[in-house]
Amino acid sequence: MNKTKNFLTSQSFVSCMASFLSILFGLLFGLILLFLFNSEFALRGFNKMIATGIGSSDKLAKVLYQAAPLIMTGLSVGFAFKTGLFNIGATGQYTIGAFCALTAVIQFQMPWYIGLLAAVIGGALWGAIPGICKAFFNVNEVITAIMFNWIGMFLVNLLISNMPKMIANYWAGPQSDRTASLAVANPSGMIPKAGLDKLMGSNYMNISIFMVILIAVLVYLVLQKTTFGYELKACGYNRNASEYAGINAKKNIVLSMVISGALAGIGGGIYYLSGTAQYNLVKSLLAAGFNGIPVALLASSNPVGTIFSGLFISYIQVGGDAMQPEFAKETIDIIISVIIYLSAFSLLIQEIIRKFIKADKGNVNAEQQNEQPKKGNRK
Amino acid sequence: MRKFAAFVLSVAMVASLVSCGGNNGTNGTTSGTTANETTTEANQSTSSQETTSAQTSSPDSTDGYELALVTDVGNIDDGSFNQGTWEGLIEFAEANNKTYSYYRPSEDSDEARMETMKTAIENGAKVLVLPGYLFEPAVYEMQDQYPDVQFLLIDGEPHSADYSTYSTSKNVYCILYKEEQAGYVAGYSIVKDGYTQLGFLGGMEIPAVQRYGYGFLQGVDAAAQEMGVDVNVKYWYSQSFVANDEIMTKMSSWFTEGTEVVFACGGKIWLSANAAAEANGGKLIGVDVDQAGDSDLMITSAMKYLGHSVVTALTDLYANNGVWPDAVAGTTSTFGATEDMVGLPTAEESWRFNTFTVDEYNKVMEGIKDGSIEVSNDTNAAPATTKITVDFQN
Amino acid sequence: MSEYVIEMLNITKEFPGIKANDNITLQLKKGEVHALLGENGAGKSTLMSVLFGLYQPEKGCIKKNGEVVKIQNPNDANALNIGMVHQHFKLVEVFTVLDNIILGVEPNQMGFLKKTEARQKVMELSEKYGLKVDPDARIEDISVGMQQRVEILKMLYRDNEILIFDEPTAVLTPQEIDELMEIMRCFTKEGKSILFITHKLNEIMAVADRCTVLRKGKYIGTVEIQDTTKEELSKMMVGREVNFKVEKKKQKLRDTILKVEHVTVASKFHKNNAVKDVSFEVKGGEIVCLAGIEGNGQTEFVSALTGLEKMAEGKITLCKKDISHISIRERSKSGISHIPEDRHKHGLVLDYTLEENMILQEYWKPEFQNHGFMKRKAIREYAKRLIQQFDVRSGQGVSTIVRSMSGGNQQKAIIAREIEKKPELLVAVQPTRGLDVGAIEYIHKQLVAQRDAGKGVLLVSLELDEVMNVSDRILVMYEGEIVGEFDPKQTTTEELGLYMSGGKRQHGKAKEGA
Repeated sequence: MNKTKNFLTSQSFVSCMASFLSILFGLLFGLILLFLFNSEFALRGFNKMIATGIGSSDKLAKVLYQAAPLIMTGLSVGFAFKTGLFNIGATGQYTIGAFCALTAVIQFQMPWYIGLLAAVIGGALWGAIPGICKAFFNVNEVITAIMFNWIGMFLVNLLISNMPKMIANYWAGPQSDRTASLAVANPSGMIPKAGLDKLMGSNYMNISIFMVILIAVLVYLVLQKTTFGYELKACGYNRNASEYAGINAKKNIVLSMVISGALAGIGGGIYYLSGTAQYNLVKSLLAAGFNGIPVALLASSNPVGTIFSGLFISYIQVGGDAMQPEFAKETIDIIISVIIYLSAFSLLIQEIIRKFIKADKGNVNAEQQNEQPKKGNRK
Repeated sequence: MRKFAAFVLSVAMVASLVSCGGNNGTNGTTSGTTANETTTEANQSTSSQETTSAQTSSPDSTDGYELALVTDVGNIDDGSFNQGTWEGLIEFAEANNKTYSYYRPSEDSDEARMETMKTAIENGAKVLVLPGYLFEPAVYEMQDQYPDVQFLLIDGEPHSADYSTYSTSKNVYCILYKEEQAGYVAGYSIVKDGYTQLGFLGGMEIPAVQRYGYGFLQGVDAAAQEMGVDVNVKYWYSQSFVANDEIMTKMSSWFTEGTEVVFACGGKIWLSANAAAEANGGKLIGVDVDQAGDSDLMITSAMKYLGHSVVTALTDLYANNGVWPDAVAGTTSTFGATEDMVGLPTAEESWRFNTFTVDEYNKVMEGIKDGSIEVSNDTNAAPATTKITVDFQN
Repeated sequence: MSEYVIEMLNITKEFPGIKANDNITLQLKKGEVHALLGENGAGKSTLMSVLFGLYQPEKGCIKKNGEVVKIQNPNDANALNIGMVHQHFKLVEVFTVLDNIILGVEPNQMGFLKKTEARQKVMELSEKYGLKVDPDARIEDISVGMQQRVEILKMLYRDNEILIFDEPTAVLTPQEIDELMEIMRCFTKEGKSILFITHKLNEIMAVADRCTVLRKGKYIGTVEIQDTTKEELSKMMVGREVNFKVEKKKQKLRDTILKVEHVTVASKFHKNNAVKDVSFEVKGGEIVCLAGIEGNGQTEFVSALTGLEKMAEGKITLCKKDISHISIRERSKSGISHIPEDRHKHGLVLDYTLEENMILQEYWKPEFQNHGFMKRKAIREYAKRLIQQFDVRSGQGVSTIVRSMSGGNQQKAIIAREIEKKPELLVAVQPTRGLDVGAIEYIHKQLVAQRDAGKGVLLVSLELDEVMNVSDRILVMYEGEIVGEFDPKQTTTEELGLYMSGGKRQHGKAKEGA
């Protein structure tokens, strides 16, 4: 009895429940929204939204494909958050990671794993800069990171436009606004599909989701099981106390941002080395990096939770696309936003859950105390 | 703890802001018609646009939607290529009582476009109308997988991803346009109307944009010869289909240097030119569709009659029991003045010339149609000109 | 009309794993100072939060003038003329004194502030009660004592009749405490009623009329102060006899452990040095006390000693090893343990569990980690042993989040950690600040135990009682300099006070050091 109660009131369970509740309410809201938009098709649309992702193997492949970079940026934001930093620069690190990966693979014709390595280094470097500014000059990382999002994006555009080999029209066709398709420029630069594409019947599928899950577990282990993670979190929770304990807080802030950046960088690498997408020379920030924030938020920054929240967001997006044509593609964005917004109230929801559980268990406790009055005063 | 909650909330707000900004999509169709909803300027355009009348028709429950349009990446109300095509589709479907709908891919990739085309087919589409050259590899992949589905590819021809193989199957019909003719008539009219300081603002340097530009130069030159005036043309490719500050700065300098009218030829870049024109008292020429509604500064637009081509093609299709007639199946038609598929908008509210009249316009179009006026579609080199000075800028 | 202005009857309030208030009754008469006494974690703050509408009790009711009232939030409390000076002031740091006082009840006309009247009222109040403040000074620029006056003025400005003081003296100097007592007496003369939360028995004896005692969330009793003694109150509070006298064995002095030579530390706040040319020694087996009024360089000196701050000049030697320029971690390894002044800022990672905090100084040792992986089991066992040995109490044992623990137990945890490190020199900065007698007694015992074990103890304290009781040698610090050295057996608090306030100095002593 006690065990179940401990489990029910444990932090991880309660925050998990809070996320589930946010999702549930969000979906409920979504259903209402669908009825408002087009009541005739509301139920069918809703069904598509929540069932498409597992409806067929190629849709599942799409879910996994979209989830991989989402989880990576989610991990990036979540990791920084756990260590007391707000990495809003994930999108810049993601862009730089993508650029480094593509440069290695297209410009230098390297295999995919070198491309990913380059993405790690690029992302890490881009994360390090706000970290260094924070640690040594006490500049808020949010400011620096936002600036470096733009610097990164324009830098990448500038570099790519001056590297003719990178652009699609160097290899084939007239397009000069995007990088070359990997299938044309360097097939070995694509993340291997290991036969999964045939198995799942979708070109989207490759091994990246497995790498991502591995990385997420690794991040979890580092944060929870190592002295390094202990130091990082200590700095995040209380920089003064960690300095008092002889921890080099400056070093840890930089390292934390480096790792966070590297994670976002991998996200960019994974997405663009999948071979399906080509980097567009757009002059606006990529949304992919920012999308990590809600993913991390929904998972309460827990690395393992991030896997699930990333998969969920991707899943429901695929479902949302399948609601077309009766419902515009943007409908799902609204629903996701509501879910995220609700999860921002997770503290409140957690409190409600605790009360609910307590009310439920309250009678049992009272009985227990009556039966064993002596045990209560053990202390 | 409160601090934390406040922080989380602000994060959520940032995040929701960002996810509104959404979709990494950009980039466009032929002459650079593109829809990008990430820039703020882009949002303004849709508001002034007449919103597309119906989203979908009501299907007879099980059959789904017989006519389907898939956008290349942007939205249906992009005020440009997607919208022009879509309006034609609606016109045909309403007249012939067909079910219809449109779909939007999840991202800007061939894979996503194919996925969305499949979704459309699963939803009962018998005819897919695909606006934009970005569909070329997707149609190449799909055409033989779905032999029973009829594809109408606007502004492109199917080829493999590496451009090594071009092949159009029997269930595909491609439509291209003679942009040089539209450019020609726009250039001719504007000089005839008395303007002598002109500019050509291109999007990306792709053949369709080049044809518009070179046609424009030819038209300007012809009119200048007729009138015996000297005309200056500034000529620049922005290498972008989206509005940005660089274009605006450039256009501002053009207008302050005396340029009177700029032919803004490439997707959303007209927004930047428009902002510059507003600030400096310049005028514009639109492209692809009638842009008179977008801005009061649009004197005219070099149009492709997208809707008209869709209606024509679909009429032929249904006249032949829902498959492409042999005459067009597996072929590409290049439409121009002869077929009344390019030109300027002649409706009164779109006709904003000072002195140039519709009669004069019709005369030129007749000349192009009967061949007495020849417009070169060569994109390898800029056309030779006699009476005008062209300043090619980088 | 009832005899009581406020009655809290049979209040019960539960939190997960703990009954913070268990059937507690508190009755406040009009015009009295009523003390609420209890150890840390006895439920005083919870009870006041219930009265102030911050918590809703599970059972019980609140009556004002005999009528049952419902207090849902602080606004309700305000409407009932209940005001509170919180232990941690609730002031807007960047606002002026006047702005803070009128905050929430701003006099206005059509939304435009009308400060002139407010200023006049504040000045009148301040004059009447001798609460001198500068209405235009910003909160961040004035002293803690001043800030408290602002809080009191805030209540007066709202015409509150029932004034709650939550541990008001914890942050004050002895002189300020006397002034506060005077002000409280003045209030009661006017018919205001005061609830005075504290665990300092001297203050209760001095000012209170009656006293309600709580222990571990339970109601123990209410007594008339004139009929009771300090000893009796402390017995009620702790549940056993408390020894106020610290028992020490005969001193056995050993070699010098700490040698400080000509240490100078620059100030962060002004151009002068915060610590000027300080030299002294601490030998094994003695407790040296650094006494002084807050802000005379003690904090900066300890920061320099433990490595948190760099010193400008001087040399620090620990066990014959020069530690002047080595890192915090290295100093810790060399044998310094540090019980910091601010346990929330420096001493603990509040969001970590108790066991994680227990290894904060030693997590890198091979006992607790293997190739960078933490040995969870070893850590847990170590923490369990420590909390048992040092009697650290918490809701969920070693996995309690430290933030949820009471101040006394947090402090005990720090002491356990620092002593278990087996240091040569224990630096304890105000180790008993804000703690109740039981905890103070315990901590003093621990300090003496270290001394008796032959270690050096450097105690920094503001409380003269503590200074006189615990130390073997007293160094008085004034404006960054050591102005005198005393043997506690041969000096009086009055003499110390004179030196602490800069009224006197032993010439030559400061330069020579001990």
